[in-house]
Amino acid sequence: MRASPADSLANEGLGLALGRSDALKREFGRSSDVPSDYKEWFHFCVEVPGGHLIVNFSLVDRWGAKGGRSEGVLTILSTWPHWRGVVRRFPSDAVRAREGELDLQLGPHSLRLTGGVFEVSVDDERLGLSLRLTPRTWPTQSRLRLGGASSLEWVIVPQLEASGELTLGARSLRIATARAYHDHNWGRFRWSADLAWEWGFAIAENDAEPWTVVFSRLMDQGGRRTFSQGVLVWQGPSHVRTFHDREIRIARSGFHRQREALTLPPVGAFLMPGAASGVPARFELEAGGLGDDLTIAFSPESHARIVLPSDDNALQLTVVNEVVGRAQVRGHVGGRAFDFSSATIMEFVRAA
Amino acid sequence: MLPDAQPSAFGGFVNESLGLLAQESPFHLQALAAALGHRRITIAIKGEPVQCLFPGPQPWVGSASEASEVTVETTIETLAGILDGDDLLARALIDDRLIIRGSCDDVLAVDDALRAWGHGALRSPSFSLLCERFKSHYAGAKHARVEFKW
Repeated sequence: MRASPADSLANEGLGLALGRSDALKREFGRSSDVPSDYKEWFHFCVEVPGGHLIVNFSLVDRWGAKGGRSEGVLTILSTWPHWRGVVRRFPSDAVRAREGELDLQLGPHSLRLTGGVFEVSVDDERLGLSLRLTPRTWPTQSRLRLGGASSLEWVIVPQLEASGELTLGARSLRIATARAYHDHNWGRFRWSADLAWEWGFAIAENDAEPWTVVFSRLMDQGGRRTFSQGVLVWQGPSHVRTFHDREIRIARSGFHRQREALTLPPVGAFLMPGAASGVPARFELEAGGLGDDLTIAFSPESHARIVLPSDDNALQLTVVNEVVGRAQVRGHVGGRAFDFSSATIMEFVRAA
Repeated sequence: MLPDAQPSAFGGFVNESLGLLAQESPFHLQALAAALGHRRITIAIKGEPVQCLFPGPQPWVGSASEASEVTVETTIETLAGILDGDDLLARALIDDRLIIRGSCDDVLAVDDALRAWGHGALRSPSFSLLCERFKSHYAGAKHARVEFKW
């Protein structure tokens, strides 16, 4: 039986830690009079019965011909019953966000952190979502180098328990004690031809084996230069190991192919017809050092594409490929062995 | 001299989408105008030909009054499918659900203009709302069969 967070973690301490790590890091829309490439977002992945759900609340500064503009963006993707999704953009006057807390309102949609529990509410045309996400691990913060002076702060809560309801049109799906992942990212960087990343996580499906693994690799577009990479390992609620840059080797082989791919926003499909993604047919990661070792083998099953405008070139794009598949994870950390398979999500980001 | 613009519902959509580019992504309106140059393009949806050209920096959109360098004929279902990402322009061309007539150079220029329009639409925060209003308008009509993403 699962221990509830209230049992296994000092709830008050966790709430305090999350209150700091997951608070909004900058006043929304602060620098509308100067060029800004600040981005901050809150990302959730939930394993729902028969699929996966991705929820992303973003606050973005954009710079255009008429000066700076800050906006909120809500992205929802669901693989249940098949890939569907929506991207909604909100001008600054439809966004409520205060630095130092997580109480975010994008139009009618909200994300709150109350007493160490995340509450998500989405009320869109033909889409309803209410979620409560209770952390099962402590948050961990890293800084990811993106090349040049750019970097991204990354707070991870790799395992949560989600409950709630998803409604798509006339169909509803009850979500009860589902495994979930969350991260919070912020920093100044530009979507450009010089930035690509690979990111993913795997949560052991067997509760008796409470391991969670999260990895990331940030690189230039061709993958010739890796800016930073890391693999973080949790045992139960505790972060027990980070494999760093030189301890990690990644191999990609083949190309994942599918006939069609959901592409959002829809005009993105007009600009990028077809389903091309650059996602490999197989992704393998090996890490080792100081007596510990780990392998992750990920096989994609299907993907959807989120198309973003490049910050550097008015006729270029950045494509975020959200990919579902299975990960096989094996290794030893601190003398303890783990070996599990997990249905999961990886993200492959590249310029196009 | 151009007649007064009297856009139909579809013409209104074209006009508004170009107006959005002017407001929210002017670079792409300029790129679109540069790609089209002097050319007139006529788009006919269910017998409502709408003509678009750039007599100056700003577009003119109205009823087709003169011969065009390029004409496009399609249906509202095909157009909505392409705007919604459920259909491909190339597939609609191959299946004769969308027909483009013009010289090769003129058609390629229109393709460049459409790509500039698409990049601008992606960067314009209000574009998705305009698209939904357009689809809602036709979804209410008996002849149309337009479905939403969700």
